[in-house]
Amino acid sequence: MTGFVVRRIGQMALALLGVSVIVFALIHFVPGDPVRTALGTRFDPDVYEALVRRHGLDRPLVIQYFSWLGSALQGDLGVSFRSGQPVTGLVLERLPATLTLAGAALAVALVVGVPLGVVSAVRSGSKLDYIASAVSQVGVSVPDFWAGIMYILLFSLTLGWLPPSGYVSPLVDFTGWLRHLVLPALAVGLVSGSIIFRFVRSAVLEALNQDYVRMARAKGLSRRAVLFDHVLPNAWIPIVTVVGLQLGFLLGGVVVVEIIFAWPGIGRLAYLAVGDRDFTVLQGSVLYIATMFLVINLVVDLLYAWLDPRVRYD
Amino acid sequence: MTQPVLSVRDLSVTFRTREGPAKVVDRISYDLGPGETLAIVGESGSGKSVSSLALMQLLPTPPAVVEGEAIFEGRNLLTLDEPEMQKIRGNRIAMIFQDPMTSLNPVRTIGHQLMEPIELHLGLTGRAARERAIELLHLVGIPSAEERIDDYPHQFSGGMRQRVVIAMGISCEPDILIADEATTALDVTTQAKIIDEIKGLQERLGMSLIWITHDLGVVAGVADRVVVLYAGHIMEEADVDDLFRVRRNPYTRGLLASLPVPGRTSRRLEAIPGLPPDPLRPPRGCPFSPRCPYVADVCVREEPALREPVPGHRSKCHFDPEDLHA
Repeated sequence: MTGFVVRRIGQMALALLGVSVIVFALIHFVPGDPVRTALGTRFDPDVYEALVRRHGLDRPLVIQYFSWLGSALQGDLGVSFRSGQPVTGLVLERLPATLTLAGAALAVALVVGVPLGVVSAVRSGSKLDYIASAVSQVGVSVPDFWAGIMYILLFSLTLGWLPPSGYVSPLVDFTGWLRHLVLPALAVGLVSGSIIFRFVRSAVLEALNQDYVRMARAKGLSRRAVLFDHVLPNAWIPIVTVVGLQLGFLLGGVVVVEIIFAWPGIGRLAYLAVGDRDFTVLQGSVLYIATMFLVINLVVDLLYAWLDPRVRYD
Repeated sequence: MTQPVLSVRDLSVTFRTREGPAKVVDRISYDLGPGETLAIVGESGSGKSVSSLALMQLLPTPPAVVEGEAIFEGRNLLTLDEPEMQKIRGNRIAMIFQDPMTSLNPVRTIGHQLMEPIELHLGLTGRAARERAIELLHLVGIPSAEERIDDYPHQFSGGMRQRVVIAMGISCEPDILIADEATTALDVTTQAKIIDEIKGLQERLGMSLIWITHDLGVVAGVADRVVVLYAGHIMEEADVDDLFRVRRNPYTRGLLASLPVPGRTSRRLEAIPGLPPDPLRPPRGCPFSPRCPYVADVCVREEPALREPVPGHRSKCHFDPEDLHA
């Protein structure tokens, strides 16, 4: 197991290296000059030259990349062209907002998706199953940002129950934080919840039709005991996969939803960095998102070994 | 015959489908004596598995509709409520299934799965349940059971897994063991060994056995009596020796003719022409009439009764065997 984890961490490092090369290359091939954009109307050829030299942008790309990589390995992701602040700090600053939204959205998704999926599968063909399946179809089809806009229109602008956008630190105002969190968490969580619902339903249905379930019933176990002791332990395996993917996606920051709700998370940071051609910030955010995905994937793989005795990593 | 352990009377199973009702088991009746081995033989789709699942109330209803009676200890199994049924399943009547590869839960240990019926029905817990489980594994011939009890199914071979399944079946010393194609998925040598084990256990525990199979070779080896099912109907029922000697029913004749005979290599195996009827559109008259080489006018007009021209030998045919000429 330890060997497996070490190997996987090695692979993760390689994957991150690949990600950094691709992001670095893409950014530099896309037209747009970060320094010119940063200067905007205050453009002055001398200042421009000085800034370009200060950021090392006059050097060949390969040199720029390795110099960035060298500092990145020491935790220094460079400074923003736009604000001059260290990128590492900017990313860390956005982390609480993104983690909060990801956690809340996942909670919504799990609370909605898992129990409904299990019940729908157990009562497949029932009215509840039809309704839940139809609603989840809508859930996976409607884009989260559109749902977000509808929530703002309904709950904020029409009913006035909740604030339309913004973020308050829970340390400053806990209730305010909660009130700001509800709508974006619902917008994202209901989409993830619909996806999770569909996976849970099909995983449980699949497990329910296995011979060992019939065997367990033939031994005299009650339906309930069979569900909890035989069906669900098998269904968790595919469920963990999809929940892991959803969590990876949420931790990466839900870009458009963060923008609609003016939520100061990683997604919004990356989005603004694209507009500003703020290479270093974009590079840093993408690196963070990729790391999150890889870590979640590793955790999911380790969970497999825990859930399924047939999986052994040695 | 002595008082039967199980009396099945007019058992019918109908599946409600979108295209209409499909009657897959049609008024079958049989008795199972104490310590007796009854083989239920038939092709796939003849209703042999469905009829046994119906006895255990293990068919999903709906879509299945089960009618008739199955009297076990004076009570009708088909109308018992779920808690009563749970006390019988695995305890008084146990059932083991076709595929040892899929009958065991891959994420639970052998011991866990084997101890379930022991804890549930015998009330043993902890160490006592575990010891009983180890004892059962020894009984079905699993070496070093003490260590292997904590293994998972994937660590066992197919034959070993089927032994585990059998151990589960006999764990509470049931009155009846229903073995649904229990050895079909195994290779011939393992099959023979497992059959021997089950027969030995049957003698030791005095249980009755319902052996569901499509394999007439196995039938000859294990059964006392045979029920031949075709399209949900009992076509013939007889003592195993009578069945192989007399072959009253044209369907049974067809089945036996399709068996290979050792030593006779030149003969082409005879297949029964045609296919079993679609349960949504059963033929009028005798269910076998569309494929029967001896078919006569009366066969397409009237469904024959299950007659008993010789005591203990029933056949669903308008004719006596000596009158049958192709």
